[in-house]
Amino acid sequence: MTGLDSNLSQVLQLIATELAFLSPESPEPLVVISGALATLAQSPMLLSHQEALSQLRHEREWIDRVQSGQVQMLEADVKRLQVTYSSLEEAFYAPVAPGSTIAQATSPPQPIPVEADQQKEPTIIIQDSDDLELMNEFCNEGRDLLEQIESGVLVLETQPQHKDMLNQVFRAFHTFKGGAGFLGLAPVNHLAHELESLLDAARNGRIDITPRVIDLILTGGDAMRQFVDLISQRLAQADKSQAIQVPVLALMARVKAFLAGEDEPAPKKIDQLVAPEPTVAVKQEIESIPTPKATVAPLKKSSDASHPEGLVNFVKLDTQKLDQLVDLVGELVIAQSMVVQHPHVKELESGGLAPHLRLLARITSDLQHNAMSLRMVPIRGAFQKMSRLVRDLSVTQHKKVHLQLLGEDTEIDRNIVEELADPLMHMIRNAVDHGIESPDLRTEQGKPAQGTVKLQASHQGGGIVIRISDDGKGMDPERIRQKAIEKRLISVDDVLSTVEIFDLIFQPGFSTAETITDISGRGVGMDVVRGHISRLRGRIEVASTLGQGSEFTIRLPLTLAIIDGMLVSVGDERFILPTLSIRECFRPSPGMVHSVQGRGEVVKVRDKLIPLVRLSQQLEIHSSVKDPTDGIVVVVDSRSQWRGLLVDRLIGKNEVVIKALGHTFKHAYGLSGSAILGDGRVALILDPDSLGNLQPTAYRSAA
Amino acid sequence: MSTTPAINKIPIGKYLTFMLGAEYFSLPVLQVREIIRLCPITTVPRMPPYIKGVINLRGKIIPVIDLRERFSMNSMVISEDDRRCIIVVQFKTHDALVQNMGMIVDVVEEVSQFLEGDLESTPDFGSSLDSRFIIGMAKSRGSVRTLLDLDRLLTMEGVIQLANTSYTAAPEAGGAVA
Repeated sequence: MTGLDSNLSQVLQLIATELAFLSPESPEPLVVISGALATLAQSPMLLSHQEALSQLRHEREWIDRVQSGQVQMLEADVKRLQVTYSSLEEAFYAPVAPGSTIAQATSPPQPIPVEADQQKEPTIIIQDSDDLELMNEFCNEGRDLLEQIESGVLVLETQPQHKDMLNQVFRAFHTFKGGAGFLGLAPVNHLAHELESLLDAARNGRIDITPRVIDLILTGGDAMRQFVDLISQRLAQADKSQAIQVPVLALMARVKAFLAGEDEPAPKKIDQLVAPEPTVAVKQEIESIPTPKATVAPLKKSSDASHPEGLVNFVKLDTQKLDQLVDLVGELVIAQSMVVQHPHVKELESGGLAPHLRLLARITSDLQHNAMSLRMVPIRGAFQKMSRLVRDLSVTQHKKVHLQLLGEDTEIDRNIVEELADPLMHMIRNAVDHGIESPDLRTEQGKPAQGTVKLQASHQGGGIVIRISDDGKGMDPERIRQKAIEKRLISVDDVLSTVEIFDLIFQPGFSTAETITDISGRGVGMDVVRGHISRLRGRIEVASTLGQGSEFTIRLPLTLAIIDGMLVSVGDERFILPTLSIRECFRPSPGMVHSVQGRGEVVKVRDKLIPLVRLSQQLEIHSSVKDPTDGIVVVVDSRSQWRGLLVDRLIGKNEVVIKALGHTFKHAYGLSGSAILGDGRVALILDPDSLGNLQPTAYRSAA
Repeated sequence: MSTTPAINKIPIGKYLTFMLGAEYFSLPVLQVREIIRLCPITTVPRMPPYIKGVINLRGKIIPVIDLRERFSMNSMVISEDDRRCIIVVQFKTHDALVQNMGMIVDVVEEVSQFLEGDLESTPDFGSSLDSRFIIGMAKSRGSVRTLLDLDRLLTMEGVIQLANTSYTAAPEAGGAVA
């Protein structure tokens, strides 16, 4: 570092090294540290940093007390020392930092107040010389960290005394700041630094964690996320030179003002924001200290306080490699079954081959399960985003809402977790916005003022079930019915069961006008949610009791890579129907199938009329089954409407690995993919949603 | 309609030659992934007739087209001696994605080296013939081969007429005149 006395820098380095060996069990380094601190205390440079100086003195006194046996050294003390050290280090490096330093209004000793800089929002420009790969890595890691911060802060909001959580959030900020500084992303670094100081003040008990602090941190996190998003956006562009700007000055000023207002002296030890270069040094040295899991904190561990720390190690992996592995294992399973089922092999029953084949089969299936589990992640990620949403919504809506999360550890395919965010968000919004009443109204009705939204995940029958329930006002079937008649979704004479009425809310274009607000009623309705869910090969149902609340149930497959399918034949062709969308199968008896003038055929099952779709006609395949009573009707759920698909026969149930059909068939009708069967042939997977679509669109056309 | 690419645009090198009816076609051997026997093909419904369906090539799903149908030729009378093959080729789509495609051909002939002297630009077939997917012609052992531009051929849409060709004398097997 230019300008800094080399002696001083050696002393600083010495403290850093000694700190690395310091622990409650081995307090020896304290002697050296105390001596080094004494040297530092005499430095004239600290005169302009009274705060740092007093902290330093404080630490020395503490060390004296430890050495004389007056106090016991704890793990927390080591951490505190490390923090003191890094702020000391910053204090030493900051004034001599070359380049632009952003001045701070509240700090009295101001070497170079650069007023101009303060007027302008800082910008980042990605240079060609920057290490783009590192930057990308920073963005990825940064997002994880920001998620950690957000979920941590939300815990702090309810339990401000949760020290561990506070430390975790602090560490996450610290790591983030270090990364940004290392890459020379000065504005990000500065912002992170401000927020870190805020948390630091909270850690040291100088300020309490008030809702205002929480707000500042969350807003800061949002700004940092914007930076990260913009940076990764630029990285993906050919022209990377476009400036990145996120308004942060106002926020930083707020943080500073807050800190200045709450505490007697300027609460921050250093009022100088570090410029990029010195931060590099800071970061490198910090890394040499074993700040317990500060710079290497595995993300999953610290994201939840209830999680025991340690024990699990993680490897970051290219998702493509993972997908390839899963694909290959899928092939292995098919090859294995081709060998075992080969007629020649079957003849060789003697000779002790059978046990070997069984072993092969067992290992293959274990391997498959293992490979599949690699793609599984806890659903926590998708759930935690909702805590923030509920918090924000309840503030803007002036409602008291508690979000209860259950079963966040339930594992599900990572692709599904990502895709779930949108529909979940929509439904949670609905629940808070439409479901939960205002506190006054709730008290009037004898309910607790605070409403509860419950988000629950669990495994069930080879799939996953997610329930979103609220204890709000529930839905009024009569009003939905009226609305549907208005919207011409049903006719006045239609007799619908309650379940069917609730199902209407998933119809495109259905939205009960009375409930539209700026938050939920934006034209994207529950039909979009259902669309999302069915793209994930899932299903959604709703139940509601007026006055007591609503419950949405989403059923999803565990993975998108494998599908549980029913193999059916039409003519000479075989097709797979996803079992999740099948309601029932039966052979129609004479008299069950009726022709409806101009509208096609329907099949009557237990007084319910279901439109009949002859697959042979739809798919233009020659089939010998002309009379429906010779074939089988498979009732499927097709965009919330039931369809009876007429097939020739059922062949069996299979678990198959889904393969995309690729570019050539991107416009293919009625298909969602393909799969390789045990005999090595390809079978196409039918998409019940688009198969039903060709039918007349009127709801329950023949009712 | 018919373009005449400069002769120097035809890359010299190794080409795979196959037959449809009595006509010879060649394609750059570098684009050939492999050649397999005709195997059962899973039909994909509601596709143009030339798209036969998909096959499983060691775990990969490969679409298969029938080149005779693609060129609107008569379908082949299948004899005892069925030597039909699927040539699996690699091509680039409009958005530069590399894709695999299987093409059913009557007979695979040979791989041969075409030198500069063998190659000729596409003759003007007149407006009745679509030659956008033809790079040029090659003379080899007394026969004329049509050099195919796979990237163009496999991404083209609509009907392709390959008829009235003046350079072959095998109308009985070749052209279905529109």
